[in-house]
Amino acid sequence: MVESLLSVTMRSLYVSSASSLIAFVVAIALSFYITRMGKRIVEMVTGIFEALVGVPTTAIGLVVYMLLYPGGPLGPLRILYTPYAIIFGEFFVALPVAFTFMIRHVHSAREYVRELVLSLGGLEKQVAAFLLRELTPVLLSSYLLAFSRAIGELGVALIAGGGIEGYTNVLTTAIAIQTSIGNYEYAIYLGLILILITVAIVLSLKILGEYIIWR
Amino acid sequence: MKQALMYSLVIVAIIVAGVAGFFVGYYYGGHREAGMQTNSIVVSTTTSLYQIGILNSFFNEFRNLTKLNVQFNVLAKGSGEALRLLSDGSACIGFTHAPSLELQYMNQGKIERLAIFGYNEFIIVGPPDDPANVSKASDAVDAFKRIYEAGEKGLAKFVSRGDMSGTNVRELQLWKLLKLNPEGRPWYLKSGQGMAQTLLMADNLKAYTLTDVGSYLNLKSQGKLSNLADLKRDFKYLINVYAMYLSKAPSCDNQFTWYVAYKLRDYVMNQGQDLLNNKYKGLVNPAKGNETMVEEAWRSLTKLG
Repeated sequence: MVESLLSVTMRSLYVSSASSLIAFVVAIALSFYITRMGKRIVEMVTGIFEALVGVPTTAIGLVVYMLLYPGGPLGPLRILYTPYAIIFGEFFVALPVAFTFMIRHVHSAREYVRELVLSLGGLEKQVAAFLLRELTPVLLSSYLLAFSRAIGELGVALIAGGGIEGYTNVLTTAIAIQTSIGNYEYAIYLGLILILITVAIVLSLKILGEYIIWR
Repeated sequence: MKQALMYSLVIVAIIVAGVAGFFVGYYYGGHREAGMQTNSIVVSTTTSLYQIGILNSFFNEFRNLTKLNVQFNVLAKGSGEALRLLSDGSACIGFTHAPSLELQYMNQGKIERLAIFGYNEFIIVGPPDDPANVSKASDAVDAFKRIYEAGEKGLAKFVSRGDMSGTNVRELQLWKLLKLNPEGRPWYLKSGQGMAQTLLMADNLKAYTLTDVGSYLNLKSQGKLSNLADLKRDFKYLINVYAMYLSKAPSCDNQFTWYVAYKLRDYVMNQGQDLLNNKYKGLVNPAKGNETMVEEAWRSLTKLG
């Protein structure tokens, strides 16, 4: 009756990597756009996003439900209780994390990389390439952070996804639902998998961190 | 140079892992795309029916008998939330057991009752040594009074669901009948969780709680409850009636949904009743043969409290 651990895990990976990839791309675009607009605006936008990092995912889940339910503004899309609803909601969970992590680095790097490249006799068109090379570790860490936030959140997946077995059941909702029907053993296996995944992410973050310092 | 090599290796490894995770997950994770929009129906249900496994048995047999190609997406929630989802049109078919709430939504014209298909009873469970003498109570209301008094003396605790589920609604009705309000008393604990977690919590705290008999027996048979005994049954106040509903929200107003809903009703009231009788007797009893009794019970429950 209970669906296999593998398929729940795989669905979880699919949903959270999709949402964090989208959030990541948007965060890059946003941070590059914002950093062109002067220090004041950067500070302001960063402050807003820093505040958003702390919003409970259940609150985001409720807002997403209100948007997506059949009478809501996005109701005609008919994506409530599908994986797309979770991807949509987890995008808002992952975006602030990815953005706040990368914005300061992008902001400072833009200034010094350009000066450095030009003063060493580089060309204007080489600046972008160096900037990208310089920022790669930061961008990767911010992607991983966004991913681990998305895979570990419960609120959106439960409220907008519904935890439908065989369709929208991800690791966290499976833990919640199996716990609520007293099936603790199965929930513990799921919990262990979730811990393994997040630990793996933190470890790779650490390794990346080493190289940021080394640089 | 060695460090630079390591560095690029790590990055490549992470990118490969991320992209591979995405695609493997995409193909493996039961990504049901074909026909998803057309032949699936969202069903909200009280957790107890899901936990006992009745709903899955119903749906499997229904599909086998009718050969209909329909996918039921089951949301296991408390009755309060399940009914809210029905009235929103987020779910189209619902299985619940909270008559007074159900009547409210029916009066608002948001849901339509398809059938009352089964019943069992709530029981008061608590520590086997029974410090509140619940087992000697004359009826359920008296039992709650005893728990209240014992609680005030510091002898007993009570765990409430606190989530507007069918069980919680019934418990609140009983307190209301007593004209006692346990809200905020130190011995009155709200779990805010499902029935299984509430039972386990009561078990760990050696506390009393109200539960449907199905969830209790299901957990008891798995050996997960060691400090709880079945102390008081009272068919008059504690009958538990399960009914199924169809949402009247515009999002459910299409031929397919209505066809399946009425087909499902016919199945549940015929072959489904035999299934309950053969496989789930004692956990949830079929309404067949007792139609007037359950209808009467449902009606009187809507008036309680």
